[in-house]
Amino acid sequence: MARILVVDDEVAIVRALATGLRARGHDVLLARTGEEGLSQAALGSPDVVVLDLGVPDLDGIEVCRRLRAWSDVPVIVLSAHGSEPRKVQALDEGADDFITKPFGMAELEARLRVALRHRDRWSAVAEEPVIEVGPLQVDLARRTVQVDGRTVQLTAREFDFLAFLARHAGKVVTHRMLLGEVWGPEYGEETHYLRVYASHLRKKLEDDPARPRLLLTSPGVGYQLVAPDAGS
Amino acid sequence: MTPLADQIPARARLWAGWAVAFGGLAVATGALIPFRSHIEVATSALVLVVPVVLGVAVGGFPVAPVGVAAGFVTFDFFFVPPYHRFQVGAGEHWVSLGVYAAVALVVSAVVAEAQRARSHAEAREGENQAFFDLSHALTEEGDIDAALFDIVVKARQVLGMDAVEVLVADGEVDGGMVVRATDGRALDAVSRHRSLAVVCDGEPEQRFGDVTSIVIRSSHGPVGALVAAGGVVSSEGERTLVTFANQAALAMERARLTEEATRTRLLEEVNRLRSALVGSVSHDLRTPLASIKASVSDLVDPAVTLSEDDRRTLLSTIDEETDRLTRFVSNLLDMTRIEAGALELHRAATPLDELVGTVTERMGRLLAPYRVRVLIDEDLPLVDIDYMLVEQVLANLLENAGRHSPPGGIIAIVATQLVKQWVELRVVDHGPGIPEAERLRIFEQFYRFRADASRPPGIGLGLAICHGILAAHGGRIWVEATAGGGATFVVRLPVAGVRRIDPSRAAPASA
Repeated sequence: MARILVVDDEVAIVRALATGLRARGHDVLLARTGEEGLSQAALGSPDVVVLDLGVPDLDGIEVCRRLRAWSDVPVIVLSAHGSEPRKVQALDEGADDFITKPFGMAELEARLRVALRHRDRWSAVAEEPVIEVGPLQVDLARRTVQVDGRTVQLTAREFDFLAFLARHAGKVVTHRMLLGEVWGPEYGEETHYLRVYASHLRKKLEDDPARPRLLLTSPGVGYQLVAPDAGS
Repeated sequence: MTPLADQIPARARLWAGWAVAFGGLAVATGALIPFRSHIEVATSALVLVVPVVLGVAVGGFPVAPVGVAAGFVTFDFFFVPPYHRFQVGAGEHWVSLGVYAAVALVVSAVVAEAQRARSHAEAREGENQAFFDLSHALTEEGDIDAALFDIVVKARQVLGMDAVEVLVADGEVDGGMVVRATDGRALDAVSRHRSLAVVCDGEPEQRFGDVTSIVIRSSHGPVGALVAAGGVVSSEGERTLVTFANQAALAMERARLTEEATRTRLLEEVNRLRSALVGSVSHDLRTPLASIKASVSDLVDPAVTLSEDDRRTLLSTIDEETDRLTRFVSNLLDMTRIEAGALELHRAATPLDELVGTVTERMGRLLAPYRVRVLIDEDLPLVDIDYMLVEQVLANLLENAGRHSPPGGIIAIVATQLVKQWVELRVVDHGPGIPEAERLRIFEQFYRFRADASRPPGIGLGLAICHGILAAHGGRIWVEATAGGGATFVVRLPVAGVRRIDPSRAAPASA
């Protein structure tokens, strides 16, 4: 049960989303343009924003940027297949996750759950020295990591990699953001570094490194650290 | 530009030279006779050299032998004592005669040479001028055929030939040939084929009979021949001919490059359109699909409890979006058929009010936010149209009108017969309208005009399809401004035969 703001100009999809979300017990706010979306986000204090990148007046990416100037509300971007660069741009500008059209409501609901689960983390991260993501505990002050209470040895760079993802748990972190933060701003294209470190981390953290549940890959976009669903 | 000497035939020049020489001698003799006893023999000899030299200057060196002989005889007969007798008195007079003959001959030779050099120089200059004019003309000439024609005309003029042609080997047919340009009399087929042999046998030139053939060589090798016939081509003329052949090669090369550039540009344009199409098509296909998928996934999810209202909303969303998808796919298919020229019309006399009724009813939900007004003349004649296609036109226009109208805005559908053969169907909206400059372009394929930044543009196919369908009907479509703001699309449809909707008579027939 959450308050969800849907920003999209397509009447039909808005109607389908609103009906489905309300039937799932959510409170739904609607906006047809970017400007309207921004003012709704300010006035309606939604828990999550679902934003279509193709809103007519403002560019969807611009909406992300403006929203991030004053709000930490999770943003899930709706994008068309084939618009990967724009999707990545939106994530770089502060969007948290994306979903590609056409999608089923169950998939959207799953993304919403992830966003809601990590929402509180995002506002509190700054002060907290220990971040918990599911079975994972990352102690930023002592630079130690535990999985289910068992301490895991990480190299300095592996720790930085994981710590950055943990600080943004639930959010899809783009290759560029990770490289810039962990390796330095001059690294932007060396995504193969990331693959190597992600694979090392999975071996150390995951029960089944071949089917990761903590450290997920968004192909061509980036990585996402999530707390696995309790039931699954 | 062509030297005077070249325009007058040689024989006429010779006669003119003799005339000048003899006439001059007669005049000079007549003038000198009264004073001959008072002047030196040598003086009269000098005077008598003048007509001979003038004659040579006019007629060329062939005038000299006869001219000098005539001068010699005249000098001896009239001016060397004893007069009027071919007899030479004093020994010194022999000397005078000898000197006269020598001077006359030498001066004639010098003058003739100078004359020849001058006319040669003039000829070269004329040729150069011709080449200059030609290359100038060729640079400005965009059309290869006109350029080649310029070349043969100039070549024939400069060389004084009966016929000049540009022949090109036709790669498609073995031994095939195309006459690209011809001036003067046409060559016979045998001469043409023999001339074109230069292309295959690698010789730069070939002569037979009065025909001279020069190979035209492009960057890819020999392509054709410049053929001159009906005149003698000197070695100098041959050089000229080679220059013309090179000009022809350049012109052909330039035409080939231009053609290639055009083809490349065309390909680029096609590619640009293709990617625009892929982008728009995927967006327009995906949007209704996304709504359908979202709705269906709710309906099938057992974990979600939907109220009866919710179910109805989702089902009608699916219904509408399927229609939208169908419209879009029909548009794509129609466009493909229009593009391929395969649009087949199934024409029938159709009552327009029925068609309008069907479309407005079918699009009812899409048009629900607007106030739709239908105004159709009572006595409107039947129109001779393909029902399905014109339905598509009206659906596209209404979808457009909806897209650009403010909620609650009036959309009017008006049908009237203004002239005998045509019915005009108007779809009137009160949206932002279309600026004058865009009114033709919006009917182009993939042209998207965004009248209102807050609304998404369509794919840019709908109006192009309307245009294609109307063109197939022999009708027309255009857009005007609505009085008071907005766009009015006008569709002109052909009236069917002479039949009319006449309630008193047509009732049984129209059933």
